[in-house]
Amino acid sequence: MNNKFKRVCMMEFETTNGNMYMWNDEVGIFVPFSDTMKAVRDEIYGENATSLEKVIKKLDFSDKGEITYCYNWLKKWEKVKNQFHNSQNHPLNSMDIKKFIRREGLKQLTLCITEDCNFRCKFCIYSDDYDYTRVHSGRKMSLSIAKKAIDYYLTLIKNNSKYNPIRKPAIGFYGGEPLLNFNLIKKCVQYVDSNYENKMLYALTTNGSLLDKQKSKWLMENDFIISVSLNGPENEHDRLRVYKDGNGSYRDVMENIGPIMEYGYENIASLPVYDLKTDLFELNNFFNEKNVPYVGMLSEVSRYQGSKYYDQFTEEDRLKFIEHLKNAKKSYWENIENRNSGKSIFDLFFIKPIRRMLFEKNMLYPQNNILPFTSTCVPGNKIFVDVNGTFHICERVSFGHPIGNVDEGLNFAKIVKLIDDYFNHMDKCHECEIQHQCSYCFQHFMTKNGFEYSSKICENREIDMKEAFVSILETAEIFSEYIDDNNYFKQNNINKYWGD
Amino acid sequence: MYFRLNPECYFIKGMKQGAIFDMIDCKIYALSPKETEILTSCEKNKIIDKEDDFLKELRSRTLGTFYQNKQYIQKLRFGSFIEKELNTPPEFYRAFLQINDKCDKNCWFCGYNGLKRSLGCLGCNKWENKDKPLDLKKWKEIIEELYDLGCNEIFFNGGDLSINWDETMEILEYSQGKFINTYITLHQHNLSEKIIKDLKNKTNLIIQTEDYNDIKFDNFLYLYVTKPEFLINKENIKENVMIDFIIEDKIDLDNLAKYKKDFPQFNLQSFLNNIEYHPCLGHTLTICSNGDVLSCPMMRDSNLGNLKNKTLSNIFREKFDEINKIWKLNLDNIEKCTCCEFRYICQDCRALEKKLTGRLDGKLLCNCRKEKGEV
Repeated sequence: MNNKFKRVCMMEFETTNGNMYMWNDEVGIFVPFSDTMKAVRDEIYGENATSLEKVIKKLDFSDKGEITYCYNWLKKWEKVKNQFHNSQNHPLNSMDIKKFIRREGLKQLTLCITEDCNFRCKFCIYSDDYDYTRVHSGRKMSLSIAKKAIDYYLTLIKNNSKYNPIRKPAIGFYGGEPLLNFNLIKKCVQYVDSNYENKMLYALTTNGSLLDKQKSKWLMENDFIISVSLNGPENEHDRLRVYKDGNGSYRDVMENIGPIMEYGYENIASLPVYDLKTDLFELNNFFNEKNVPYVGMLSEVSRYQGSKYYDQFTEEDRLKFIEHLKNAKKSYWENIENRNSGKSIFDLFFIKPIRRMLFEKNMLYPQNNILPFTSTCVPGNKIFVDVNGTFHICERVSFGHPIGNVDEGLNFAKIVKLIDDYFNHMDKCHECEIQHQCSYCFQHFMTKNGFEYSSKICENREIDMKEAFVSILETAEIFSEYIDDNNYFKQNNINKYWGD
Repeated sequence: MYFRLNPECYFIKGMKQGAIFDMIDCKIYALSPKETEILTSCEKNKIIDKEDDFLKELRSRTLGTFYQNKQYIQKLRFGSFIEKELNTPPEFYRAFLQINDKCDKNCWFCGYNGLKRSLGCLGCNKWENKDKPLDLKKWKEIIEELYDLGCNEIFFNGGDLSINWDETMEILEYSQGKFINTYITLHQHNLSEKIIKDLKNKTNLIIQTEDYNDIKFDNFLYLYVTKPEFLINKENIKENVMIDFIIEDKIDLDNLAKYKKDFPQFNLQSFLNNIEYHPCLGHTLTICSNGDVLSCPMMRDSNLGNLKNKTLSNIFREKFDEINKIWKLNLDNIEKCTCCEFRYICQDCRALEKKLTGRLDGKLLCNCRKEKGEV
């Protein structure tokens, strides 16, 4: 087999409906496949490239028409390569990064205004269960550091508006529990109002326990996007989200959210997490209720950052959850016609991954010009500021890789080094058969002060992804029209006049 | 048995008929109403007759094939369908810079005389303008801005750009290396050996002419102005010649075919772009000699602001919704075109159509009557 064969033909799989597909990673697409296609492909791209006539003669056990079709299509498909776009050359330099960040980056400044928290959530990445992250402390960000961070960020936005004049600056307040330092939030907003003309987007991530009427009113008046760590019904929420003394927090959180929901405030979302003990049906029912904020993001408890969280679960727990997930999926698709539009948490479980895989991943282009492997952001895309004023990649990534600080700004040389280091650890990516579907980022590979090699982290990744491919394609085969409707971007135009 | 088109083949339906667009070989297959009906059924994963001649024909052309079971076919595309929605810069790729309005000639086809041309935007036109023109320094600032905004294709035109040739050259030289392609339009009669020598390796020259005998060079682009009835041997037109049709004020509605051009070449990128954007207005702005910013060189009333007192960035910030609305006026929004299966590969001049119909979404210059199922 020559190299061309290796790159043109990638991962093959079969759905339970009996269809074969090939994941063509070079293009980033699933294409229908068959035994004949496979045999013809092997002949075409084998050691001795051959003509259609010779292939027909050699494969005389198969239908001639089918062989001809497969031969012609494979030859046609080769031409797709002409449309490829190359990625950025490595190694990078500081200018490449600056150029990228001033046009595409600076999406958000996130201020970690306190490391203190009145909760001790069971899955918190700042707990002892995670080896590579910080721990809770009483440290708070000072107004002086917050002002410096804001000045730096908004000056960057202003100076680079010629590259992206429509970028809307956003400041997020994060913790710990940021409402433990509520006065700083107020002072930051006042500072921006007094010193800048920008129309700002403010965001707050809170556990909701301190979100009293007064604070809620002020946040709503200032158009904050409020993300509340509401985890589902009382038993589920209180299983995972508890106060320092171990008591559940559900009732306090719901009492605080009530008036905001009654007011009809739309910029409030829930950020639930789940683990192997979560009852997905209960979760779904809970978030279908009218008085509950919609689910902005649904996350599995993190398995990264040196996580020991899952040590508590048995193999039986794992298998039970897989079965539970299967039942939930079956129920979801059986009732798809009666689905309550836009509210089901099951959409996030069962539709979002399909949408991501089929419509959101890049085809023909690499995923990212600066970082062609994995789906990671370019550091500086967002700026996460810790209580001391040190800049980090984001809130989910270990703090062992700072990228600047409030006094000196972004350190582009450090960012380049970080990217190069990351790139050098992606030793498996060059031969990976699912490059275009990779959803991993820095957080998956980072250790306390460096990176793991992708050959270690992704050892079974292709096998896992193959299972996901089967699951997604067999669903898409049955519910193809529904799936295509979720390709909301251009599908409405393309599908005009398709009605019966 | 089922039949599905291949990943590279898009099936687009009009009101009555459909067409298949092959994104690898860049070919179009227009279908009859009956064929459209059959293929619609196939693409909806309905069971079909394997002996159907039409489907066998599609298979023999490697456009699709038969399957034993229901199949999901992912379509070939370019990039991601959502990535660019995330706070990314405006997709501003093309600018017309009308660096002067003046001309001492009085060509019969000049926009100044109110005549309408199908490619007037690429040609030279003098415009009535009492405002003070932008100076050289300002043009250089604008070029810097265009570069920073990621614009990659610039058309310099006038007026007669040979009138103040030294300034024209300084602007052209200042643009060197900043953009992927630049073009300058000059009338045939304004060319000189010096001008041709000056432009060598600096930009692409578009020569406006109304006399086909003037077309002597193969290495320049020509914009040949003609009335449709004078164009006899359309097939013999050289490859480097673009036809700039004169459109009369009164159109003979029964004889629209004479304006008809072949469908432009398409590819995956242009096809997907046209699903979202207008094929011409999309990603484009015009900067007039007095600093006015227009959405199209020929739509003089589409003023978005003036660069004497603002920057392009200011205009994008203040008027982006308005700009984007014009850019995204794709043919799904245009009467007639909206029910045509060729809407994502067709050309369309909004400036002309607006002048002829009085409406931004009007359509006169097309002899297809798709709403009636006619070609």
